[in-house]
Amino acid sequence: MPKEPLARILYVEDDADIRMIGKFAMENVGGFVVTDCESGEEALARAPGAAPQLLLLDVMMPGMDGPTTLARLRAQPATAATPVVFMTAKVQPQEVQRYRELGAIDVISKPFDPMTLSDSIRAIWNRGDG
Amino acid sequence: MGEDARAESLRQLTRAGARSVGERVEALAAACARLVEARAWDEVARSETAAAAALAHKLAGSGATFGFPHVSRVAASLETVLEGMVRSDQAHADASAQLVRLADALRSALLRGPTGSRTAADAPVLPTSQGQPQGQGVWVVAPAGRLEETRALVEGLGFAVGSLDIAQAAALPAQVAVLIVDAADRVDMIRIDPLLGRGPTILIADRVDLDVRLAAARAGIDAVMAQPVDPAELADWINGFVGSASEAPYSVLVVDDDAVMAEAYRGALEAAGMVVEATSDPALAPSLLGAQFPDLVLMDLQMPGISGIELAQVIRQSRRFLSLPIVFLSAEQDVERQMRARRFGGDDFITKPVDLDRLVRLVRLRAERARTLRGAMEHDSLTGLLNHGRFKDKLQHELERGRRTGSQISLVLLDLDHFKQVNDTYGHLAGDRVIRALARTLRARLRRIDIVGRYGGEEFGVILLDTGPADAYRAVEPVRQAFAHQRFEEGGVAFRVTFSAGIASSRTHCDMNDLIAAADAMLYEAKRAGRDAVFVEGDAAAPPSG
Repeated sequence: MPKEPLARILYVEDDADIRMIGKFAMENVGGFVVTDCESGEEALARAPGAAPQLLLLDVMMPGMDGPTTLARLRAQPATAATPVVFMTAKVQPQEVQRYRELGAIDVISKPFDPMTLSDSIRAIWNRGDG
Repeated sequence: MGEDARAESLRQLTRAGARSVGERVEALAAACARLVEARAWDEVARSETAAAAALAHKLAGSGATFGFPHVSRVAASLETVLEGMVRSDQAHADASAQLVRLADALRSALLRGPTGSRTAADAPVLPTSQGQPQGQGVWVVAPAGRLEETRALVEGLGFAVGSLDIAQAAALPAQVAVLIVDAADRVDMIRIDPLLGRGPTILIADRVDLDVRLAAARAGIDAVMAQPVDPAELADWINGFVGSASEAPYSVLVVDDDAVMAEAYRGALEAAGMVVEATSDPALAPSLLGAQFPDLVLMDLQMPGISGIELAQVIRQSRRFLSLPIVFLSAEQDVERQMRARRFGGDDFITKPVDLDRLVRLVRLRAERARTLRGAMEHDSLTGLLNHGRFKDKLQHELERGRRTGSQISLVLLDLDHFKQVNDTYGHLAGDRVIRALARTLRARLRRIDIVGRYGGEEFGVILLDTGPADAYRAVEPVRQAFAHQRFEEGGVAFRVTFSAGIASSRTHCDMNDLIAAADAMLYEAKRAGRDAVFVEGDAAAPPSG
């Protein structure tokens, strides 16, 4: 079944500099509509209105981390089954496995290249096991 | 948003991010210094270590996004060390040593700058200091009233200089190539005490007697000069110190089929300031060699597919790699086999599991020796620059690389104006000083990756990598201005010397001899137009507008 094109992304990242350039890159290079949140709490509050097709979550965040945020998002109807991609600076094979068990369709490693980030995301989306 | 506007916005964002990378590097390095000094491992130390680990994590995850891949790598190593301390819930002496080393490596990674940048606007901004020197790291610290004068003196000698008011000297980087301290009185002497040990130090004092000399010697100051300073002597001192410190970092190719180990070796060598390529695929090694020209190859003896000995044989089949040092990593205790590996060009063995400190020491020692030998063969003895033959080899090599990667280079030929007159009027020793000064000015003002050679008697060649004609002009014109202002002295008579330069680009001349002829033609035009000028091909009449 052909998948609908990816348009709306919910992006959660606590580092303001990274969030700014990540959002800019996804919107302007990738043409996505990005709802950016600086914390898990903000993501929980804004997810229903944003109706994202993809969740892009930083793993390590102070307070509510990525996996916890995901668990809480899963409890909300709007994001109960939304595909999720984790972003992390630590990409050890066993950790990738753990993120997959949590339901991630892929992991994007940090630091990312702003020029190619959108392509990576689109490739993950089009591969389509989400 | 159009393509250009988008690229520009992205650049601006990246630049803003680069500043925050600079701030974080400082914060993290400072946190490491505090941890090393902490007396006991207590609740405070634990939470500070955890905070530093979190900061290292952020930096590892963001540095390369803003153009600092080396900062990302060093920060990742720091994160591992800091997390190890938190996990084991204690501070180790060797963890402290690692923190010191990595914090230094982190600062130098920042100074290496954003990848591919040339413009000052892209350069790293250290939040704590004004007037950051580019590249060489020569620093002047002086009382406010004398700062400008001393700075101008050192700049006039052709060095890029950072300067700090003695009252704000705490902002001095932890490592400098040369520190020049102008201390007016005893109070100043006490104030500079914490600055010592960051690099070779020259003290300039109003009055130099045995007391001052003794105090300086005890403080570990390397040279003492009295006011008024003899510029030539100061230049020789700085040159002596910079000459040893400003060499390009050692470059190492690591080949280990175990990718994790390859990364571990890379991390250790990079933390020691080396430039490292690592691959887990031995089949890629020969092409990496051609692209990197490393000082040394470090490889695993036993690899699936191609063994270390076989790879060494392949490497030795190229004449230009005959003298390249190869160090094997081997679990092998078998002396017979080690002898066999030696016969095929292995210079040394390191037994696995590897002690990383020993690895770094051995690699440095071998690389140093190889470079000394090669240096004697390839460099001009007066200036230390590449000699004519080697410069042309490099030019050919860079042209080939440009053809593969699509990047362009610019060739600059420079020639001192009326040099024969300088020799005739002031003598050959003065002439040699002028030649050395131009060599030094070129090295100090250009990027470390740019290649500088002594092309002939008073003629120099420069290869500017990844640089088009307009940028080449922007790089060379300030050198011309700086050199024209430099004052020389012989027998109490002051004089100045200028040079003319011609620039041509590999975009229009992909053949080496064509490129040289084109740059030479521009040089001739510059001479004909009255000298003391930089001419760029395609725009001979005036500086390029772009």
